[in-house]
Order: sequence, then structure tokens, then C-alpha cells
Amino acid sequence: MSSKTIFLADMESFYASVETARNPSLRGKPVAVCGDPALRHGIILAASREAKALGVKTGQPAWEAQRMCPWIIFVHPHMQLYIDYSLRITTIFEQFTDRVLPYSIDEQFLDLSGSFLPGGSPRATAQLLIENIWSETGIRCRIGVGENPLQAKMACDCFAKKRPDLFFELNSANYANLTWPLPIGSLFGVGYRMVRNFQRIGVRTIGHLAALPRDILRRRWGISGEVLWLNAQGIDYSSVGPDQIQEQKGVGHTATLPRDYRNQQEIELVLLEITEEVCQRTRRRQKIGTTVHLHCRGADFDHPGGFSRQKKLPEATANAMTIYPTILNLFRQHWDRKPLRAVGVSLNGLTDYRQLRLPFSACAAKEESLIRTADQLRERFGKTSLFRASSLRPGAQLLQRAGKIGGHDA
Amino acid sequence: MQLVINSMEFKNCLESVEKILPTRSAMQVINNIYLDVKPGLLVVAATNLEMYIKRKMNYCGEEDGKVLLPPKIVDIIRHFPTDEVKIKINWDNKRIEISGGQAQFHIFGSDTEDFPIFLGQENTSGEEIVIEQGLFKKMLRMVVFAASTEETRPAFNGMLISLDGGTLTFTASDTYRLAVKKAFSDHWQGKSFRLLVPARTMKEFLRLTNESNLPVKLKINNNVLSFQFGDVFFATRLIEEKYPDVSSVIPKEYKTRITVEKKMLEEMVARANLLADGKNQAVHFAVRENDLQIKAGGQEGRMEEVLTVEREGKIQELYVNSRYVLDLIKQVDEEEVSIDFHGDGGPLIFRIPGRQDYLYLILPIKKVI
Repeated sequence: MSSKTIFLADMESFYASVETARNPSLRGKPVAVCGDPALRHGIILAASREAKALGVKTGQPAWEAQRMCPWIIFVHPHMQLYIDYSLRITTIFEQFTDRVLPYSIDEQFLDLSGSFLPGGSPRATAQLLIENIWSETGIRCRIGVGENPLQAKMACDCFAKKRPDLFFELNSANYANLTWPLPIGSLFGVGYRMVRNFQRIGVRTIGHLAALPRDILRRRWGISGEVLWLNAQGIDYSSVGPDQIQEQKGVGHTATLPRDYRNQQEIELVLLEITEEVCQRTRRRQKIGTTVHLHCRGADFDHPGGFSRQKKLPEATANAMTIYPTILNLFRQHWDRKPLRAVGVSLNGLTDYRQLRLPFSACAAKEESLIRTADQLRERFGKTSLFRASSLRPGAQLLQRAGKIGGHDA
Repeated sequence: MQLVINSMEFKNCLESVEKILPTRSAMQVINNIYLDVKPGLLVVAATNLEMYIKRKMNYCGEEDGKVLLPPKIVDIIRHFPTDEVKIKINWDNKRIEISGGQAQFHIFGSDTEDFPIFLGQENTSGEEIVIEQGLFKKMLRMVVFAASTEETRPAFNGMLISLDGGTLTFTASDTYRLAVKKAFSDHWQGKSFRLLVPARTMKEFLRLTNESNLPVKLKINNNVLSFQFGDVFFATRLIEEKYPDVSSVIPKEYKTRITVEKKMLEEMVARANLLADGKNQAVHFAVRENDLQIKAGGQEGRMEEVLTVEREGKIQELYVNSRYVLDLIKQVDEEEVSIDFHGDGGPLIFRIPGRQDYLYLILPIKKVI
């Protein structure tokens, strides 16, 4: 197989950079994007390079950042603007190759194998991309290059971000030499919990993991363990291309709560609101789902507790009141009564088709048309034009979250 | 004193009761096989509390007593080297010695005291009818598969057996489809009942092998329906749920009717099923000018095939679960089936041409809007 040339482009401090690009008076100053500091939204979503230099980190509470750097400038998030910028950047990349895979709002994979490389080498092409993005959007972009998406990601995260030229290239020849001395946590796919698991068996660097026999990983952690082992070797069988953008298999929604919730009634209320939201979005896409998934995150930031469980429904549906009892059962079964900071629901196994049922109970058709009417009303007059009375109770989130994107101001 | 038993016959008896033994029940005692010995006659029985089965056979000897045999006995007899088994039972300590040829087994039986008594035994009174075994099994086969296997609505786990004005009707549905089979006999005039039998136990009944084609005697006693033929006695508990009136969901007039060769349809749908998509296993049926086109497809690929059919009425197309279609066609012995269509959201009704005693209704799959 001929070797591929994969780029990963990562936008530096994306939200903060967009804000700076829009308001040049912020240039060169410590800027942090964060929501309302009074509520839980007061965590740093992004910090500019100047702010990071002072120790401000993403995910930190705003008050803590302010203590580190009293002259920091807080900016409210503008989620729709960030989405627009991200799409503009994709358009720029598409001038170089048709195989662009947006990986997140601020990261995109490009497959340049077999493409004409302006400038002749990956390095020169990357320089050109970086210059283009800078001149058209005012955002600094870092580029990692590899023979597969994994190598590109590692090149970007572990090296390009720290280089003055914002570029780094890994390949099968230098991968082991360069990455194996790095701590295990720097390996793509290894999170907080896996670091702990690995340290327990004496794996502290990527090299340690690479040196283990493959079966040990498979036996202990199954396929995901094996994938990590492959990652340590720099092997990745995935590709970047139109076929990678699969049809969405589920609709999900997670809400970070404005404060830690510990009251069962309040949590269950938010769960109902989220279930309704997920169902509405599923219905808007003219689908029904077969499996529900409940995800709860504990309040303790340093020791993330909580759980994540799913259940198959007896029949595919997108009716919140049919799904809600299943969600409640899952919640009551698995919640350990510790306070929660975020809850999420998703509906998966989406399908376009519904097996019709004999009309032994005539009310199903009535309920169906009631739901459709409610959807049409909300479509026309907005999310808050029609809602359950329970959303007026203390703890409800619906009215606060309406008009936001991802829980942040649009 | 000992029992001298024909091992082949004994094996058959044990195997037919073994099938309903619960694999793991909290009630230890029902994991065993009940053995009741009278001079010259022995009875083996088993129950899983929902159903009960008992078989009789003759043997040589004059023993008298009862014992519970561990389920291992079935394998022991199955592997026995000789045509004749000699069994010695110590009725006091329930030790059992099984011997034949050079082989000898010692196993431990247990006391029958805690074995549950199943109601509706032969000698009780109750409404009863007699039906030819072949017809009864055929009726079962054509209906029982349509019952639900999900535990959400208990009524639909059952098959409805009703008798009225000499007509016996079997009905089963999982709310996505419905099968109804009728039979008539003058002998049944004047009797009437309406029973909901667990479909699971009826499927078990179909598995009972019995070469003899003796008529089956159905008898209702308390909350138990029993079936008796030859040396077999089979009883099941009834489901105490209300069964809905199904006649209201069967449309009277069709918009389209096609008649197809059963074998061709079966093979074609089986092929379409290979690529049928998702949990619904949807295939697309299109009744066109003079043929039936079937299409299936999903992420793995697509297929289509055409079959010439006789058509009455309008052209029609819809999606249907191919598994549901196959479930029926496999059971049909006749050469042809007819399919009635009732517009876009209406059901498909399968019938045997020229016969009024059967229908199988499937609701289609519709695109979510």
C-alpha cells in the first residue's frame, strides 16, 4: 500500500481567537471566553495564548482565572459565530483537497495523498495552509502531518503546538523514536481513567505500552485495548474521506447543570426536559429510535463519578412519554445519590420506518397527532411557546437553555 | 423385585417429558422427573408449573411406589447398551440401580412428597371436545407463531381458543400481525368456551413426537386446559387476561388482490430477506400492472426480483417485514396463496385461495413522517 499523507489542522484557542479576530482591540491581551460567572456557565471555554501563558486553563472556573490574572478580559460566547468560522475554514481547506473531515469544531483532517502539493512538500503545503487561514480569518492554525490520521493527530498535539513554525511531521520511521518517551497520557485515546489503569500495570510511557504483548491488551480491555496498542505503534486503519462521514446513528443532548443537583425530583425534571428535547430533534429528522442511553456525570471534578447506561426499547419510537419511564428506571436503578453536574440522554439506533400496529387501543393515533401539532407549534413560534408545566418548577432548565447552542449563548 | 423395561420405549417417554423440565428453577423438586409405578404400568411426568406432561407405558414386574428421578436418567437411558433395562428401586431410601448387559448405574432418587400436584388430571370432569390430531396440529402451526414473545403485554403471549356454534377458532397476534384459523364439526355443536393458552406451551405441544394419529381430547377444568391422546397427557395453565376483539381490525373489502404460487413467493422473499434492512427486515412489495416486484436493500447492497401474478384491483406498493411473510409461507402446504392489500397504511391479508377458514394479517411498515 502506498503511504498516505494526512494533515490534522488544529485552531489555536479557537473561541478566543475568533473573538480576537472580530474585535482586534483584544489582540495581544489575555482573553477568556466564558459564560455567566454567577452560574455554572462561568467556566473558561477557551483562553487566548496570552492568558494561557499566565496559567489560565480551559475548564477552569472564571473566578480562579481572575485571581491568576486580574486584568483578564472575559468575553461572552457566541456559538453561532464559531460554527460559521469553522465552516469558513473547511471551505478554505477544500481548495486543497476534497477529502476534508471536520473532526470537531476546531480540528479538521485533510487527506492529501496523491494530491498536488503546492510548494512540493508537506511542510511547504502546511505553511501555505497556515498562511491562508491566518490571512482570511486571523486564526493561528497548527498542522500535524502523518501517514494516517492517528500520526497526524499525535504530530499536532504532541509537537506542532509547541513549535514556532506550527508544523510537525511524524511517519512510521520516526514515530517510535519521538513518541515512545512521552507519558502514556499523551497517547491519543488514553483518558484520565486509562492513565490510572495503565499506571497500575506499570505502563508510564507510550513506549511501555508498545512493548506489551498485544494479547494482554485484548484480554484486559477488548478491542478498545487493542486499538490503544495499535495507537502506540503508530498504526491506524481508519481513513479520511467522504465515506467516513457516516449517517448519524443517534440524537443526544447533555446539559451541564447551573449548580450541582442532588434532589431526585429536580434531576428527574431535567431528565424529562432533555428527553423531550431529544425526541423533538429526532422527530424533526423524521426518525424514530430503538435504544435510549442515559448518562450522568458526578459533581466531583477531580474524581468523575456517575454512570452511563443504555436500554433497548420494546418498540422504536420518538415519543418522549414512551421513553421517559425507561429513562427513569435506568436513573433510579443506577444513581448513587451523589450530586450530579451534568445529565444527558440520547436516542440511538435510528430508523426511518415504523412497523404499524393493529389499532387495539385507539388512543395511539390521537397521541400521535397531538405530538405532531405540538411540534408544529414549536417550529413556528419557538421552543418556549409550548412546554410542560413542570418546566416552571424550581430546577427546570428549559426556559434558561432556550436560544442557546450547546448551553452557551448563540 | 425389579422393573424390566424396553429401553427404546422408555427413552421416548423420558425424552418427551424432559423437554419441559425447567433448566434452573428455584424450586429444586420440579427439576426432577416424576415416576409412578403400578404393577405392570409406569407413568413418567414433569412440570415447569406452567405446563405439565405425563406419559404412560407398560413394563414387566409387580412393583408399586413413587420416586423422583434426577434429570440425568434421560442421558443414562439414552446411552444404554441393551434393548432391555432392569431397574431396581429401594422404596425406602430411594436408591436406584439400573442395569443391563455389563453396565450398571447407581443413582439417587428423591422423595415425591413436595412434587406439585397439577390440576385437571384425566379423571376430573369438565367441558371437553375431541379433535383429529392432524387437524389440531395443522391449526396450531398456522396460528401460534403470530403470538408475541415479548413480555410487555401478557394477553398477546397467548393464543385464543374459542368454540361457538360448532366452530373452533384459534387466534394469535403480537399486535403487528394476526392469524386466525377456524374448523367446524357437528360434534362440537352446543358447546362453547373462550380460553387464552400460553403460546409457549402450544409450541411445546407441537414438538411432542407421537407417531400415532390418535384424536386429541381437549378438556377444561378450573384454570387448566388438558390435551389427551394415546398415552400422552399434556396440560397447560390458562392466561387470565382479556383478549381484544380482533374482528374489528380485519377489513371487509380489499382494494387489490393477487394470487401467487406459494413456492415461488417463499423463495423470492427468502432471497430478499438476505438484504432486508434493520430490525424491521423491511422489503418493498410493489403490485404492478401484471407482476409483483420485491425490492430490498440497506447498507450492504440492494436486490430486486419480479414474479408474474394474477391481479385484481388497483396497483399498490408498500414496505413489509419479510420475516413475518416467511413465518407464514413456511407453514403453508397448499400450492397457492392470495394476498389482499388495503391501501397505503392498511394491512396485507394472506389467504389460501378457495378457503374461508384461514387468514393471516400483517401490518405494513411506513416511513416516519
